[in-house]
Parts: sequence; structure tokens; C-alpha cells
Amino acid sequence: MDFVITDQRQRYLDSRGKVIVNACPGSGKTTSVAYKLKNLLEYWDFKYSGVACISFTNVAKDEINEKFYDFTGKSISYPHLVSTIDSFINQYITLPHFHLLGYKTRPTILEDYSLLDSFSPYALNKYKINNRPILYMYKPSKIDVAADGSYLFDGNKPKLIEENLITFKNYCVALKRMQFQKGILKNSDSLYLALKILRENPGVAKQLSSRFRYLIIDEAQDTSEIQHLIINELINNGLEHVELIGDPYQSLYEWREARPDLFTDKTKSPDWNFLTMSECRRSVLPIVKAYSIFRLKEHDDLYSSQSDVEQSPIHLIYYNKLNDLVSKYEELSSRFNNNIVLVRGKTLLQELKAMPNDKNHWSESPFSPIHFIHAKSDMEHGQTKEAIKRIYKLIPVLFDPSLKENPSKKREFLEANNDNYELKSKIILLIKNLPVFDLTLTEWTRDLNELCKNIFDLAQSPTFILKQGKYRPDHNKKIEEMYQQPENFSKVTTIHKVKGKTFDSIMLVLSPNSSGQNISLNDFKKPLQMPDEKKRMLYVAMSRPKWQLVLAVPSQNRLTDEQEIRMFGSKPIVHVI
Amino acid sequence: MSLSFNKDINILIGENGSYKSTIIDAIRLLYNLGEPLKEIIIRNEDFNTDLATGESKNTIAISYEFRGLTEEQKGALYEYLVIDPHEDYAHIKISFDKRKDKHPKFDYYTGAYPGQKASVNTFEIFQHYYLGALRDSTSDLLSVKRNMLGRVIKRNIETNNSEQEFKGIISRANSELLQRTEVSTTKSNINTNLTKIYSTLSPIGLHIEQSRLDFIVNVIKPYLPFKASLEADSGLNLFQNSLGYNNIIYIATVLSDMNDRVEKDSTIHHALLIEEPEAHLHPQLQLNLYNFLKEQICNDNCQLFITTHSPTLTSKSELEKLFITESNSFKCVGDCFVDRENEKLVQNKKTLNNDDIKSKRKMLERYIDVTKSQMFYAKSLFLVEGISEELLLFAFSKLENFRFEELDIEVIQTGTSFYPFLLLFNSTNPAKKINKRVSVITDDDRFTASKNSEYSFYKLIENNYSKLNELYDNIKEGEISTRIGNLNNYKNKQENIQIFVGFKTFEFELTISNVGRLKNDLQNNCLFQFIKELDNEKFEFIQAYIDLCDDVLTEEQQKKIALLVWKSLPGKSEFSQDFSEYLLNNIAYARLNFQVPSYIKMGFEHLKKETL
Repeated sequence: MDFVITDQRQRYLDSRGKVIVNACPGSGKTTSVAYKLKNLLEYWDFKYSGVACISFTNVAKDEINEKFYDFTGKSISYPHLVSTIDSFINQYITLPHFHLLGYKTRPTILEDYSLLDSFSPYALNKYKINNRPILYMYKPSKIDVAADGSYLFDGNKPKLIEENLITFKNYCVALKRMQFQKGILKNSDSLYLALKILRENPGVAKQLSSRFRYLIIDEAQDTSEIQHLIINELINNGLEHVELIGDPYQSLYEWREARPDLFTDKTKSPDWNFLTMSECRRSVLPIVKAYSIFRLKEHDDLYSSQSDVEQSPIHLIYYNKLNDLVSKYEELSSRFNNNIVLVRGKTLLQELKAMPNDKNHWSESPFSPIHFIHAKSDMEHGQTKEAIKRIYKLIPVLFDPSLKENPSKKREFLEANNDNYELKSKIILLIKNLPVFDLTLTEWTRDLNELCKNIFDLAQSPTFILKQGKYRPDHNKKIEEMYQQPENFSKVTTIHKVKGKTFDSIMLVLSPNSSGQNISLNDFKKPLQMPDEKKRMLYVAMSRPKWQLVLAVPSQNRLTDEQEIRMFGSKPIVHVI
Repeated sequence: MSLSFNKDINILIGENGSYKSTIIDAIRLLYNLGEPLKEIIIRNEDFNTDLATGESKNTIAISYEFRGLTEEQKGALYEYLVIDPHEDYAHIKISFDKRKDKHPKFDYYTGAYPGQKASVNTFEIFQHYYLGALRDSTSDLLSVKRNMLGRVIKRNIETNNSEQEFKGIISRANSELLQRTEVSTTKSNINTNLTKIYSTLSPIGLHIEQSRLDFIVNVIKPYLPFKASLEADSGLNLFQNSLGYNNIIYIATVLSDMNDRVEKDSTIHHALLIEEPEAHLHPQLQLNLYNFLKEQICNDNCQLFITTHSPTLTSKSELEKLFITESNSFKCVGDCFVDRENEKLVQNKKTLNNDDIKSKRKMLERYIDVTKSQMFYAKSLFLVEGISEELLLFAFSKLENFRFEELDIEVIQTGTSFYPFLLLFNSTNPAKKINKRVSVITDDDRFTASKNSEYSFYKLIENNYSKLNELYDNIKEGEISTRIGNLNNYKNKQENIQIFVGFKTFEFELTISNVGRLKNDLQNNCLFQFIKELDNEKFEFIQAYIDLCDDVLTEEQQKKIALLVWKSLPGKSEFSQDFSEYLLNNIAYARLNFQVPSYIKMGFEHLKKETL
């Protein structure tokens, strides 16, 4: 794989110590990280101490692995690590050292938080507001601990009067104590506890900094406050080399506590070596100029090195109805191969006939067999491993439905059978032999129960059942009819899904106004302070394409020619449908 | 069972079948995890089977803890770390589950609780060398697969980056050899034949196999040069060497490999496991080897484990390096002397503090020689004062049909310093106590002035036995030695230790035991026969005294006769040698006409009881 070493990249590659990099879209951030990894590992002197390269999603993690492989023909392996930040903190801090907080177990990190609502609410019944148990209003599954030890409901401080706030706090304390005693953690609990472990046991931070003497965090703008504090603890205990690489303008994870402001603070700190990558190698200049509207004036310094200048890369489609929008875009982008339509929110997805089919006709008894349908689709797309993984997680409950309420027993089962190849081959057998999809829901469910019993030698058939009530009319319809994906499923997607990706062309569909989740032309204003999340969303979307950026604008928001020129630097090509 | 080892030297001793090799194997299991070819594996037959019921256990599980780690090692072993307020340590637990018709299932976890598995690459941190009891050092030195010498040379070549030069040497040798007519003739003959078989086949060439460095270094082998240097670079080849020398060469090679690796990687931990290093070595060489090993294992990252049956090795090692294995326990001999203040042992009215006990350990280390170190290998012990007691005890045992060897009984001469020896066996804390039965044979040494010349044999018979009567009274009233009180304190209420005290002295007990109630019996008694043969003159005087006595002797008469007999005996060591020989030569007669002192018999009985 080619990697052009520009001056900015060279400065990054040469940097050591505490480095923070502000990298614009298309600057080859992840590729640079992978290239730097290649350089680092080529002359790595330590056999049992490595580089930890941390990202925020599994997709981003895989991308680093793939790019590293492209450069070297090798995979990253021990003593080095490529991981997501959650898994890194869980694996290396909370899970092994939880016992230091006085709990005699290795905890479980829940995948399904709703379990918390069912698992033992009775002990919590005594906490009441207006004579009603508080736990029905403030569900256990939605309670988190903040970095400062205060309690949040659904990510916010509850709006309650003083007296009730005390009750709320006592309830949360009791809930968390109960959870921790049982060793059942939400991911947010794990983060909070990890920080506590590091603070109370500097040895852990010290040893971890020796196990991984070089820490690289990609997409660092999405780091939360607690995660920042955890990194600080590692630095305070001897971690010398830390790189935070990100773009605060691309932070989309406020709902997951992302704190791009803390990233920006570090760029200003004298303790950190601050570098920038402001050369966009993806989009042609007019597109870079178009999304630069969302950058602060002092950051308006991006330039493009994408050489093939498209004559008129920016298009505006003024639309009355959404009906023909997708086909119009297909016509406009027909010269390109890698195209996508981007929207924000489910409503537009629905209206553009791209809402993924998430119907589920079965009750959770003990779980819905919808997972088998997904697994089959995984398998058909060549993702056998994912398919097995999907079903493997359900096996304990399939064998013993009571394990549904007992996550640690469930985990033990999964760990104990990790190498049970016989079981895994049975899973493949099951997926391959699922009842055919031209059966009705009723028939299919019946056959599936029988099939599971036979394949896994169960004493009794599982009890998969169809939901009643409004679902009843569907019972006689065929599976293939109920579970096929909508027409535009693969052509339209949400902005979150394309983060970090590159396309030849995109069309971004705007709403008439910016109420609620909507984004619209109203958001196209140069910000005076760091832009809000809607602007960042637009920024991410518009920075994806190389050659062509199409904006679909409701016709009632039609701009004058003058406005268009001011907004995009030159007159875009306008279409009306 | 929980075992705790020294970070440097560990010498495992114990009877056969006391699981020394099992312990070594348990260590090897961990150290083999990182080896591409396992030298030790668990089979379904290895699971503990109850001899009574025939049922066997389904799991073998071993936990290993490493303490005293360097900061670097703590980082490398992060996934193994258990953070502990006292000391962070590394932990790994491995387990094998028995399965039907399959190999046992291996599993492991690292860190405090199950669920975490350190990368298998970290297993390389645990390096080891194992020299088994039945090793064949000759073939180990020559083996291509495990060529230790080659390995060391190769690593040095890599460090010096001199691979090309080595290849150059072979390539020069190659061309010289190929120029030889013997080689070229053979080659052309082969090629003639090849062409006849299949004419289009291209002719072969010949060369020394040189593609890989391994082959090159493999031709280098150690040898012992001839003494008279007739020719440089020549000597006996390994097959001609004695096994002992090959053993030493092998160990020296292993150590040079180990030190080389320790120097190159300070993270790695090396275990050097040698079973019975004494194999094929004469005692002096054993000691030289041990001293050498001791010097080599001064690095923090090397740990030596030795199993041995060699009293020579045992006698030269500090007690804290010695570990004794018994069927169900394992302890460090040195621990018997650690932190025992709280047991409040009293000697000469002084309560012993930890320093006193420590100085007793040092005393014991000085006392233990090759002979005394055999006590660690015995099931039970006689502690006696000196050679006289030992010689006579041996004779008595024959009379009593009591066989020391068969019962694994060892007689240890301690002088009168029983105390440091007893500390090995007398703790109230099972972890600080070696489980052996001990019979202490001593005497109360009352009236020590009896040695004075005024009480010599001929003085006793003068003046109508007035001195004899005086001696009798003095002994009767005599104060017993403080040693007896001390010994009873040292027994420390432990059942395994019994103190057997003779009245006055060992020889006096021996005589009084053989002066029965009936005067006539004395004539046939072995002891009287012995004196008669040895010194008839004295015997006549004794006889004269006996003649004055009643037919049925009073207790006073018995004791006075005994005093005369006792005083007629030759010096202590001369007597014990001669008399024990006399008894053994006349064993059938002695069995009928000699009484082994009853406290000695009780001493036998104590040792004969079921093992603890």
C-alpha cells in the first residue's frame, strides 16, 4: 500500500512522548496510525511490553488491523494490542482487579442492561418518591455513575426537589452496591470502577503502563471524561508515550459521553505536543470548502491535495416530495461506483424506504428466534464467524432457560465451552438446516422448536412462541414476506454508519427545519464557538465524498443564487424535482 | 498441598516415594507450556487413584505464584498480576480434566480469578532446563534436536552477526573437500549411473550440507583433551568419556546457555531442575558441583531445584535451602528454626528467644556431617550421646531382633547437644516440625564425682567395702543432671519425641539390668562371662563380694554388685567396642543370658510404632 509521507505526516511519525493530533477529514489519520505502528514495531525492543492501539468501535479497530496488514503483510500480535477502549479498560483494569475494591469475584459486564430491571428490584422498593417506589420511574438499567461519583439517570441529573434527590441518591447507592456485590456491571460502571481501581492502587496503573508502554488512541475526540481521567492516571504512573489522534469536529458520540472539549483542552496544554494534519487527500477542494463552513474561523485552514478536479462537484436538489429523490441521485451519480444517500433519523430512513426491517414476531421465551434469521443472513453474506457468535451467546439459555436471570452462570457456560467444537459445529448445522423461509410464521416456529430439540439433544423442545394481539394476523404470512429488507435498504443509511468511510459521491438529505433530531439548511452557519453536534453531523456527512457532494433540500428552503454562491463559494449545479 | 520455595536454591530430600519427582514434575508442567515440544504431558493414567477404592480424581490443578518480581517483570506479567497490599505477585493456575477416550483437557487462567488468560506468548517467560534422574548426558550432548552447545554458539553468532563468516568457513572446507579425487570420483560414478537410468536428468553435485546455521554448529562437539598434548585439538570423544565427566560437561553447558540468556533478557525466569546431581559423581566432585551451582544461581532470575539422596550434598547445604518431602507434607528444614519464640522453650531456666533458636540452627549446621545428614532420609531416629551408645545399641538391636535398616531407623550421635537436633522435631506448629519419631537415649549423670580415683575398683573393695558403701549412698542421693529437665522441656509435649533416661550412666544401667534377684543367675550372665574373660582378677573380687550376699539379693545388694561390675569395666569406648563384639559373637547365648536395659527397649518400642 502506498503511503505518501508529507511534512505533516513526517512530524507525526517522528513524534514521541505525549502527542495530540488534530487531523482533518481525509487526512489519512488511521492510515498514518497504521504506518506509525509499522515503524514502531519494526524496531521494537521489548518482548513482553507492547503498543496498545485503541479505537472506539470494532469497525475502527478492524480498519487499523487491515491497514497494518496492508503495509506489512503481518498481523498485530502479542505483546501489542489493537482493541476498543471499552474492551481495553474492561480486560485490563476492571475485570482482573475488581476484587481490589473488596468484591470476591471476577465481574460480568452485561450486554443487555434490561436484565437489571428484573433481577432483584424488591430490595429497592423501599426507596419512594410520592409514595411510589422510585425504581419504576428511574429504572435500574438507566442509572449510571458519573466521574465525580454523582448519579445520573439516562445520562442526566434528575430534576427533583432537594428531598427527593436524597432519596434518589440513596436508591442509586443501594442499587450499585447490590450490583457490585453480585459482580454485574454496566459498561459505565466498569469505567467508573476502573478509575477508582487506578486511583486507589497506583500499582495497577504502573504495571499496566509497563505492560503497554505506548498507547495510541484513535478517534480520540470521542473520549469521555472518565476515559480521559483513566488515561491521565496511566500518565501519572509512568506511561511515557501517549498519542491522542482525532478531530473534535467529527465527534458524534455525545450520547455516549464523548467530550470533544476535553480533547481540545489538551491541544492547548503545554504538556502535550500538539500537531495538526490539515491536508485533505480525499475530497476535491470545493467539497473541503463546503464543509469548512462548520469550522471555526481560526481553523479554516484546510486544503486539498485531491488532484482530479471535478468540474462542478457540488449539486443541489430542491425536492417537493421524497419519492423520486433516490432515483434522481442515482442518475446524477451514475458515473461513480461507490455512492450512498445519507440521512439523520429513522423518519427519513422510513420515508426513503430504507428502514431496516426490525420486526420481531416472537416473545422472549426464552429469546426470540429472530436471531436465527439474522444468523442465516450473516452466513449468506460469508460471515460465518459472526453467525456462530450470534447463536453461541444464546446457547446457555436454550439449554437452560433459567440461566437468563443468571449472567455469571451464563458466562461460565460460555467460557467453559469456548473450545467445544462439537457444539459449534452443531450451531452451523442448525443455521444451515433452518426451516425454509416460505413456511408461514406458525409452521416455521413449530419446525424450529423441533429442529433445536433434535440437533442439541434437548430433553424438551424450546418454547419459541409467536406474539399474540396485533401480531396475530401475520401468523399465517410467510417468513420471506415478513422479513425481506425494503427496496432502498442498501442505498440509504445514517450518518453515524459512515463515520471514517470514503465514498465517490454522497447525497445528504436535509429536512425543512432543525426541530428535534432534524438537520436542515438552518444549521449551515459559521460557528463562533466549537460547533454543536448537528453541525458536526453535517461536517462528517459532507466530508465523506471524493468527487461529488449532493445536497437534497426541501424546495420551501430554496436559496437565492446569491445565497448559494455565498454558502458554497461558487454556484452549485441546481436540480429541481 | 502448598509448597513455598526459596528464590535461589532448593534441595528436595526425602525417602523414596515421598513425591520429590512429582514436585519437580509439577514445576516442569508450567515451564513446559512455552516449549514447542512438550517434555512432559498429563495422561489419563496420571490422575490420582485411591488405592483402597480404585476411584480416581478427575482434575489435576496446580497454582503457581511468583513473588519478588522486578518492575519490568510485573509489567510483562501484567495479565498474571494479583495486586496485593503486601506484595504484588504473579499467579497462574493450570488444570487438566480427565476425559473419556481423549487426552485430558488443559485449561488455565492468570491473575486473581478465573476468566483471564494471558497470551500464550508469555509462557516463554518461564524457561527451564531439566536434567532427569535417568538422564543420558552423553546422548543429550550429541543429540541434534536438543543440542545445548549448538544453541549457545548459535545465539552468540546471532549476537555478533557473524553468520556469513561461519558459512564462509564451511564453504572453504566445501571446496577443499570437493577437490579431493575420492569425492569427485564418487560423484562422476553416480552421475554415470544416473544418466543410464534416465538420460535427461541433470547430473548431481555434492557438497557439505550448509544451508542452515544449525547444521554448521551441530558438527561442533565437546571432548576431553589427552593429557600429553601429542596433537592439538584431539582427545577422547564423548562416548569414550566416563559418564560422570559427561554429566559435568553437560551441566556446564546448560549453565553457560542459561547465563547467556539471562544476560540477554532480564524478564525471563529460569528454573534449573536437576534430579540427583550426584549420579555418577564421587563425593568430592558432588561437592565441587554443588558449590559451583551455588555460585551460578546468584542471579535473581534463576531458581535451582535439586532432588537428592546424597548425604554429602545434604550435609553441605544450609538448612533453609533444604526441603523435606513426606507423603503428605512438604516443608523447609530451615523453617523449624524460624519464629518459635511463642512456644516458650526453656533451657537452663532461660526462655529461648528467636535469636537463641537461630544460633541453634547455626550450631546444627556445623554439627551435620555426611553421617548425621542421613537422619533426613530416615523414618525415625535414635539420638545418642556417642559412639559407645551407638555401638551397643546396634548390638542390642540384634539381640532384640530389631533391624534398624529395615525400619529405616538411623542412630545419630549428638554428644550431649541434643537440643539443636530436637528443634527439628518438636514444634507445636506442624509447619515447623519434621514428622519423625525420635527416641533420645541419655543418662541422669548423678554424682559425677564417681569418676574420681578415690572410687576406683580397688579402692572400693578396701576396708570392707567402705568406699563402695559411700559410693552407693552418694549415688542414691546424687543430684540428676540439669540436662534431663532441659530435654523434657524440649520434648515440648510432642508425642513423637520420647526421652529415655538411664540411671547414673549408660554402662551402669547396662550392669544393673543384668544383676537380677537370684544370685545363681549371675554366673551365666553374659556380662559376668565377659568380665571373667577380660579380667579374671577383678572378676574374683566381684565373686568374693557376691559370695557374701544372700541367695535372693536385696535391692541394695543388687546395686552394690552392679557398682562393682561397672567399676571393673575398661574405659568407655574400649568396653563398648569389645562388649558389643562379644555380644554379637555369642548372640544365641546372649539372647538367653543378657538383659537389654529396659529404657533402651522402650526406646526401640517407641520407634517401632506406626509412622506418624
